[in-house]
Amino acid sequence: MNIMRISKYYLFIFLLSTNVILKAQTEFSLDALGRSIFTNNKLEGDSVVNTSSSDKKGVSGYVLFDLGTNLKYKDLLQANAILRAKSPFGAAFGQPTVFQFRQFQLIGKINKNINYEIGDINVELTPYTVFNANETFSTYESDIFKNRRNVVEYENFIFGNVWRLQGAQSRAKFDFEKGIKSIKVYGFGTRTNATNNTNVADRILAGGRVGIVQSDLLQVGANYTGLLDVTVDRVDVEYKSNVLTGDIKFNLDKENFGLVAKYEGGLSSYNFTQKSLKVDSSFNDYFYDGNVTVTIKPAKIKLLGGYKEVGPQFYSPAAQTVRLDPSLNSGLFPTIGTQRTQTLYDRTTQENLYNRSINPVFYNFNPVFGNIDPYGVATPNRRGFSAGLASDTSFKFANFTINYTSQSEIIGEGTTEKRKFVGINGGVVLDIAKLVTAKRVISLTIGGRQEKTTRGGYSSIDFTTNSIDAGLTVEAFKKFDIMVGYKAIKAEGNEYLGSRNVFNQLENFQSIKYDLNQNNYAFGARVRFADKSYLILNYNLSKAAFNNIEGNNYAIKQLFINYTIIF
Amino acid sequence: MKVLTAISVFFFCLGIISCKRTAKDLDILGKEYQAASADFKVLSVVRNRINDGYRLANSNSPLVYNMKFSQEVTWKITITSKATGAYQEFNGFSDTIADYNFKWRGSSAGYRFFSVADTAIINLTVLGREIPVFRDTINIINLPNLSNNNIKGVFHYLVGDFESGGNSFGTPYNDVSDDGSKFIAVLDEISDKVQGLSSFYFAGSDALNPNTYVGGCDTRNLYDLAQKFSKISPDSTYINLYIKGTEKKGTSLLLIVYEQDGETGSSFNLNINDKYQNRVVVDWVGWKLVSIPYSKFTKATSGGGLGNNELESDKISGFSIQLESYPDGGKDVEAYIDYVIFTQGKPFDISIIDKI
Repeated sequence: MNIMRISKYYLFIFLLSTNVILKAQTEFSLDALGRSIFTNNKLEGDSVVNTSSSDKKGVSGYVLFDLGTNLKYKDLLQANAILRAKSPFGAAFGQPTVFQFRQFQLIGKINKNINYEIGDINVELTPYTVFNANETFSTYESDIFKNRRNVVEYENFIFGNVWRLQGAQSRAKFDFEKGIKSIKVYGFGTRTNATNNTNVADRILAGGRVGIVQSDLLQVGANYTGLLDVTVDRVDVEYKSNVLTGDIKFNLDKENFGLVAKYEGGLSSYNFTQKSLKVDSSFNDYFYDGNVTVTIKPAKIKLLGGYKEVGPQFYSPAAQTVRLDPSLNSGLFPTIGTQRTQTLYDRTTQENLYNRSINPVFYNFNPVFGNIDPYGVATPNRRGFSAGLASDTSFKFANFTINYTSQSEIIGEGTTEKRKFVGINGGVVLDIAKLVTAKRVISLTIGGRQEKTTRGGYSSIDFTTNSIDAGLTVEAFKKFDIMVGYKAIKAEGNEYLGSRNVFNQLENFQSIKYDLNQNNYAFGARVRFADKSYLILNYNLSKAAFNNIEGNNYAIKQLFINYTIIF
Repeated sequence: MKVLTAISVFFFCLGIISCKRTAKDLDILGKEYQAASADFKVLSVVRNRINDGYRLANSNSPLVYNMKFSQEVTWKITITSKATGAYQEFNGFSDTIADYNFKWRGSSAGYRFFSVADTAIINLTVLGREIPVFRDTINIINLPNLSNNNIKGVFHYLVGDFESGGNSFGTPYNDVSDDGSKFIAVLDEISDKVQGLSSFYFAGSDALNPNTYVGGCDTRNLYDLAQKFSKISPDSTYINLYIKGTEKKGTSLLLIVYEQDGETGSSFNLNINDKYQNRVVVDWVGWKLVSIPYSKFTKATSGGGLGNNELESDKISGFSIQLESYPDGGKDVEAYIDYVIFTQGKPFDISIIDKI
């Protein structure tokens, strides 16, 4: 682990010196992303009228330049560093400009079978072991809002469902001629918390996978993740969490139909000791999750079905930590008298709300944005099935999905009665250009989600959320797009929100009533200079109304300009 | 086929070991709760004393209510100080409130203690109702005394509360090679405190002589605590104190405990007695209760301590706190301290006073 402690700056010097020594055999390349963001913001509405303690308008933004330097020595060693210069909008004479390393990686090959990465690494295993789950359903988001989300995700290293961590990882693949096709071995080790060398321990996230490809028909794997403290002498808290799973995938591909069946099952063990309080807390639990996808090729559709059970005390921090922290304050008009509650617009556009670290204790969550799986697929205390229909990739001018989910709690939270969840989500992307055989981009996107939570008894729950996404992108002139988008959420009813203690156990519950509407409108234009370089100018109107408190509504009007070049 | 058989056995085994669920016999996760129905009512309320002036000292009765509700409900009683911001909260699930599920003698949540001559505002809320269903006010005339008291098997000895007239420390001293004009070790009544009217403010600079040591203060004599503690395992003896960190990074407090080994009574000689230390890196902002088992103290690295070299709780005789610029010397450092209390049995927990 000493290597991890070497500062990035020393590693960079090492990289430069390596460049000199190995100059005859090295390849050096550069890539870059330059981006300028500008926003002009205005806050209006009943909530603002009588409040003096909040800003009502302002401009903000930044200019940044990420320079990627890549050094490659034969096929044996590759080093890349992304150097960032970032200047907030309004910086004078470069004073507040920040220079930093955004990324540093060493990538190497031990032999033809084994490679490794050191430094900033992207880690992902399975949805129950290491997985950075999506913060909300946004598959069918309009292009104009998707562009905002892309900026947020780039700034927070959200690339698919990987966690960006610091450490080392290695992959190996061994091919066989008989019995099985290949064995793949993967291992990683990262540090999620640094020791202070006195009473706080290093916390290490480590794990790996052994996967066996028996044939094109059958694959199996075993996965392990551990989040463990490396004890120092006077440490007060010791934390251990182990997750072990096995998965199997059966893949049948025939002329008229295809069948993919997946199963993952496993267990978690959790131990937390706080010596000063003489408390030792341990839990074990398990999960299983199986799903089948049947492709009917002549009809170009897929039928989906699945069943899962995730135990009430199944704890897998690297799969259940959410990427968005609901307790954080939005960077856009953070207060209107008091702290402004995060809205759908904030979650889509504000970079500062996102979390980049693995948290051993569940964050509290806001059920408005997802109550069925608030901690991703691995959300504990859930049992139920799902069914759906989706277009096959051979469907040329449209892709669509529709999914139905019915789940319930395994053990009631705070009451013997159990919550029942019913959800439906889906959407469609219509490539109208292909439909009418036009050469320009004409794309229509419509998506939505409804979740209903119910519970009987004295502490009854009846809570419904509906969200809608819609967008249209039309290439009015060559490489000049007109874009409009709509994004809304409505929540109504009541819920009981539990808080968790340091041992991840539910404690007290709070009764909350919801009656809110959030409507977000955007329209604008995009000029595409090159494949990944563009200028976007759009106008956004975000309206939030909390109807159970009279006069609690406001609107944010925002002009947004994004100039991005990537080469 | 051998491979497939091996794979099947693997999954069968995994399936077997997977069937462990600690919570399998639980009916409910978390504390049970139940909301008030539409026709919920508080049927009766009786307080154990009619007079609003409440004596809460050890020999007096705690605050107790007898209440009857129309149904079982999840309730919360909050007690808030009118003057200091002290706060306490009790939660329950029942159709009655009596001394078996609520009694209060002055405990608080968070760091701030309730004070004598304070007014406490009491609110009862039930789950599902936003407005309190019962309100009350009492005036606190006195509070329990913990020092030199064994409460529910936990012995307490207050070493310093930094109130004028109470137990306190002797004359502070500082590194004479540093800038003495920057050294401050005074009672502080201005900023927030844990208990009473004042805390102890420590500040100084290690810039001129960057050896990490800035200054310190001791109990008035290094034998003041002699024969106060029992002979029990150092694991069960705790040094507790509240420390407030500020934005000045690099502040540490060196806690030093002295033992009388070679002598007894009103004398203390470091050449024949033990001296142990434990360093607290103050890397937080705001007040925090720090509780350290005596077993975590190690032999002092400087300034003597030549006793029998054994941690012995019953021989504890004195205590010092030293301000340091640690781990990096040479910095300006500061911290606040309040309510230094040694306990035997368990770490200090103010909620124990409700159990008197």
